[in-house]
Amino acid sequence: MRAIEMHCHFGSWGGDRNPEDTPERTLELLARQGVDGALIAPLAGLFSSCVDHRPENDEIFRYCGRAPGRLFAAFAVNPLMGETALDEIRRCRDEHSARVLKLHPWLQGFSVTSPEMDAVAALCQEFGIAILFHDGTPPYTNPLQIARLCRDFPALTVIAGHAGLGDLWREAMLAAQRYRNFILCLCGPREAAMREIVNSVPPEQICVGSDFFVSDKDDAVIWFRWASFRSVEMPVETRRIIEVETGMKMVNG
Amino acid sequence: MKIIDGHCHIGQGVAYSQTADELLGEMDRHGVSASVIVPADRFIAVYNTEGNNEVLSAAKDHPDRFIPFATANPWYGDKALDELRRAFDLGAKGLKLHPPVQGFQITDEIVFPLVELAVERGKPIYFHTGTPICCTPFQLTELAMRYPEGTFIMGHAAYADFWNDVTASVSCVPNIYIETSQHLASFVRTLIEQVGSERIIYGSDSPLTSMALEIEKITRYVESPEALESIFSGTIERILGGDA
Repeated sequence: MRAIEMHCHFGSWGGDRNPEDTPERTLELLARQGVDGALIAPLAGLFSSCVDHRPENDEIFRYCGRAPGRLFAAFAVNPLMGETALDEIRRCRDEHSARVLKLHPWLQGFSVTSPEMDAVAALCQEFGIAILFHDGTPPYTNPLQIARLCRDFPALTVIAGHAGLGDLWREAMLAAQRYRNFILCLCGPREAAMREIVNSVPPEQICVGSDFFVSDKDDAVIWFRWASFRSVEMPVETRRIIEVETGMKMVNG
Repeated sequence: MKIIDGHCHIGQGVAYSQTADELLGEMDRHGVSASVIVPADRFIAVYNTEGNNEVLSAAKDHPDRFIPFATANPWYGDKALDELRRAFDLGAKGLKLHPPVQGFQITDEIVFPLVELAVERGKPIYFHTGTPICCTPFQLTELAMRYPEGTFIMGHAAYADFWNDVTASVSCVPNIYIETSQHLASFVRTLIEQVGSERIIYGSDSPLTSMALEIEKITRYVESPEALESIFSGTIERILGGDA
């Protein structure tokens, strides 16, 4: 594995599947950037309802199942669905050996300080499932809001999917320095910010993502984000850990 | 192809720094003929006069390469007006305002006198945008509607997650232009389709980003020579008129 992409989405910008979209095409798009694997997550809420995630979860598990060891599925639940959400977590673990849950608090409309979120976090902690969050945009996804889950669930792995984006990357960096189970996915902060993060946070807490959609018509997003990351100078071993090791730990548990 | 960079910083900031010579080196490496220059962080926040002097001095030394934009923190009131007036008199070609760093919202009344002075002098006004609460696209639209004779630049195209408001917010006003730094390559293409290249300005936000990537994210995916000409030089030259 040369590198693993830790933040991409199923479908396309706008929600539709591209008929040409296959796991083979996705692997080819990744390979162009020198990337051999990817974690693929749902993005319900932006272009579709985020009440029932099960159909899309199954679709993503099937899709990634066609490229074992290379494409890894993340699944989604809406914590506000209560016991239904917990049942879906159990099902994804039992039927698909799921390792990563994707949550998007502002699109799904829930607070990370809600009791429903705590119930989801507790179950994920018990199952060893990491939670990949959208982060960086107030009011529900500030890095320190999300990082408090690391305080209250110390065995839970929490991934800040955008490392604070352009406005809150310093906050994300502080959160990662405070909590060793808080992982920053470099997918939003630009070069100067990434340089500071890499110099301030252990590489075992950093991975890379692009936010590209596997059905996108071309590589505009994935090329840009990986080129941006790779323009940041760092020791070879640091880069290897960030590009490969941190992400592989997440998808393999 | 002629390239004018619509947004670069110079100065010894707290979070970032770049000298005029370092920026010239970057520009030369990437074929950039001229750049709009603004002060660095602490000079935007509080040390406005020192920051403005530095960009004005650099522009005086390199009049064909640098286009200086001045800043003034609106909270200084009359002193801010005096400082902006002084900077315009010394050759500043535009006003740069940064709501999160200077501590105000785009639609706050304290901003109006500075905007009015820039409008009176025929200078464009660049706003950092995209940070929640204080500089959203619709706040800039509200200001642009209040000052229809003004020329406004939506810095960073509202990066990160106000991208979804950009097209809707500028569609009802003709006097907002959109600067591309920080944003994704795919969003530039979306802006061309939805807003038109004649309203788009290439900018890098150097030294906070890679100038090479900021250029390539456009050249790699935009084929139309007319669109490229508008984005890389035409739009900013039109806005600046004889000041370009």
